[in-house]
Amino acid sequence: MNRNALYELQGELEVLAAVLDAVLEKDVLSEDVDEAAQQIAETLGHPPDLVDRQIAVQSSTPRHAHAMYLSLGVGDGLASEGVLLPYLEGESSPNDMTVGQLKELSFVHQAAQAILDNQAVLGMSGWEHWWAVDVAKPPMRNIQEPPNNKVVHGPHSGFIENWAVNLSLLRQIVRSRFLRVETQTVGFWTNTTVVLIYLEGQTPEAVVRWARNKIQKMGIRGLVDSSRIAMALGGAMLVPTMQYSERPDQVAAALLQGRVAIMVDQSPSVLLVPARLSDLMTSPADYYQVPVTGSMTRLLRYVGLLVATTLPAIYVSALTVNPSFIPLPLYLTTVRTRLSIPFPAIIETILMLLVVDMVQEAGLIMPGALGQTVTIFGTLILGDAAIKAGIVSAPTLITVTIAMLAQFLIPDANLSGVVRIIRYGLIPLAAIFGFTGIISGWMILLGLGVQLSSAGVPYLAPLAPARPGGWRDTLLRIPRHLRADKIGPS
Amino acid sequence: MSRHISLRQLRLLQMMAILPTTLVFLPGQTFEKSGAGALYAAILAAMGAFVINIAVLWSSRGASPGRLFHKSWGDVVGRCVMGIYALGILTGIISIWNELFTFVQASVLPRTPEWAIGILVWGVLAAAVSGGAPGLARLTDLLTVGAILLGLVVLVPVMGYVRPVHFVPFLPPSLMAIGKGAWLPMTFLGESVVGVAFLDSARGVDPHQRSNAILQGTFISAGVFVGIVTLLWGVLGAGFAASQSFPILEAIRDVRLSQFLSRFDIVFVPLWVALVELKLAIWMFIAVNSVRRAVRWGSSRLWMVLLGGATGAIASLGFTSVVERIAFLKATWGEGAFPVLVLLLLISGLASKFRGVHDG
Repeated sequence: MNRNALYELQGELEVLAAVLDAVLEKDVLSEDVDEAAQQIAETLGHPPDLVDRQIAVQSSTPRHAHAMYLSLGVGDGLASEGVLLPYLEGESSPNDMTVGQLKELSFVHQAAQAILDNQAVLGMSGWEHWWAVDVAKPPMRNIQEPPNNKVVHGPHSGFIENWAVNLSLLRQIVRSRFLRVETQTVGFWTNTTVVLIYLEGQTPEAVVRWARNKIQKMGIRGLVDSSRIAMALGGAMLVPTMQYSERPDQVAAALLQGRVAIMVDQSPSVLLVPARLSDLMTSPADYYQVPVTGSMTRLLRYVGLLVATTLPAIYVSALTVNPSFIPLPLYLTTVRTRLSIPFPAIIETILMLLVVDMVQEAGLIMPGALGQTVTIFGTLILGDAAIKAGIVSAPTLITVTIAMLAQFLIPDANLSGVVRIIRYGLIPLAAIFGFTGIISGWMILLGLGVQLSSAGVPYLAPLAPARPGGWRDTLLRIPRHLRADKIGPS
Repeated sequence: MSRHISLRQLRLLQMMAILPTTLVFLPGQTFEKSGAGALYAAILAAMGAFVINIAVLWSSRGASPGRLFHKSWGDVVGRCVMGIYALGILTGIISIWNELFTFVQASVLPRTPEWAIGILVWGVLAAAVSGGAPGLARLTDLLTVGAILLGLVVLVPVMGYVRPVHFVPFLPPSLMAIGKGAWLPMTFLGESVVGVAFLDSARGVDPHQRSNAILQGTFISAGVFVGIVTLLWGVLGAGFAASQSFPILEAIRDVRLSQFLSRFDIVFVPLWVALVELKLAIWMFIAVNSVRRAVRWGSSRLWMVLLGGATGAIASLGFTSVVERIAFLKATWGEGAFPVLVLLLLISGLASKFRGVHDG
């Protein structure tokens, strides 16, 4: 066994010992405050941002106190005025602290966790216990509109990386005493707060139970973002069965619909379950337009879904297997432009799709102006050069570009990714079997799609199983008083 | 996923188990046999099928064949009867494969051989059947919406091509020809022998209502068939329609929205391919479950692979021409499997009645 392996083993054993001590409650805080402060600092590994303020309390009997907290995680004003000042002025009871909630601490692991949660812990000679006081004020960004989900009309606030702030934003919209908020701590290494939010009486109990059980049983080592929880909640490998939202108004609307919101601390993305295909095809902006315009936008989006997935396949099929199905003048024009192209239609289309996908990804990764430059260079200059060089034909480029544009109509990023995969999957079927291949490909997708569910709700509902009137807020956007909206399990 | 289906879904499943053939294959056969008497043949077929369906549904009394055969004949004989029922359904499945291959050849003109298309459709069946009865019901929901929308898009323009002069002679020329033309459609419109297999999937609903839902499904299909025959008579005339294997394709190809869009059937062909794949999946699901009940061995997935592969292979490799395929369909389904299935269900119903185990 090499030395590195020994170090790793030693580290793992230390962690195990600490966990066992905590579980068996053997890490009791020492009665001597100095010694207890030392225990806490040691447990945390003497980090440089740990502040250990020692106070000599001038009361009737002189006492000695320790106040410990992380330097950047607490509000300076809160800590000094609410915690330290009363004792400097001679007070000696825990109740003399003037801020936050107090929590009694008896064990070292409790004190360490309180400090990691950005609380201040205070111990004084003569006290039976240490106390944790909530003076958290961790660094966070300002509230602003999510850049990837902007609306012309409607609220412009967005979630940030703090669940308490996010909950507060949500409460400003849903001021109901029936709003239920359940918190759980998830992740062995990260101890992340996961918050389950729903409206009592509006959300089906089965959906709440499903979400609660999934979170409780989730064996996860660390949680750094809500996307990890989505995977751990057991969604399908390919198809998104949860919806992400960074908008309080969208989450509030989902709660009113009878869905459950899952907030994860340090993530601005709130998960919404159940998430049906129709939910993923919905944008908050739909509801801020007049119904006719909103309905048209939504229909356009579904058409976009079909175009983005199927248009390149139809193009390949029409050029290779079923030329008689497209109008003769269009066929002749297309064939004439392709005479000098060295690749068959399927290779040409797939190559163009790959290039456009690469340009899109590069544009997303590159920051701001550079991303735009990459996109313009990739699409305009490269496309123009490729046509002039006779490597790709103009109809292929037009087809691929229309498919890409249609893909941008899909509001959910995960669903947009699935569309891309379906598109690549249908092209070989079209090249081999023609229109029969495209239809059969769709039948396979639908056959598998109807079996999917999200939190017990069929994924393709309310279209499959069809619910009378389900199209009113699916394909169209009919005003609320003309439709019923509640989601129920299958 | 809920394992139950609703009455509406039961009705649609029964409809989709019949409709694709009704739309494409039956009109041509009816015109071929009955000529100008096709409409009367269609009406006669619908009425005959109605009687058969009522008798079959009375026999089953809300129970699927599996339960009915078990109640009527006991365990061992019941399983043998179930095996015969499965064989009848499998014969029908080969005919549906034949319909698919024939239509695809006539419409899409693929360059790929039939066995390759068979493998592709086999994949579709595996995906659709794996969802069980609820999955098939949901797929049916989706395709029904699509069928109604596309049906309107296709049929409304075709209606503009109806010429009253084609409805001659209005009185049937020969009663014998009507009788001949009515037989085959009757065997298809009487396919409640297939739909009854889904009766158990609608548990929790009154058996009488379940039977009614199946009956309504067959009734709607019969109505669509009579409507299509009337439409084709008016658009093409009886003589021309009788000379076509798929007169509906010819009627749709008559629609020219402009010089630019000359192949209007492109709207219809994909819909029909999807519908016939769904029909195949519905029948395959029934066959898989019937065989499993009869032999009590193997998983649904295994039987799906075996039966799907076997029937697809027979249909794609066993026939060399369209004429052979159609002859097989008439001989096996029309004159063999269908009457046997009807008799099985009727006799089982009577047996359970005499044994006092009939729910009715």
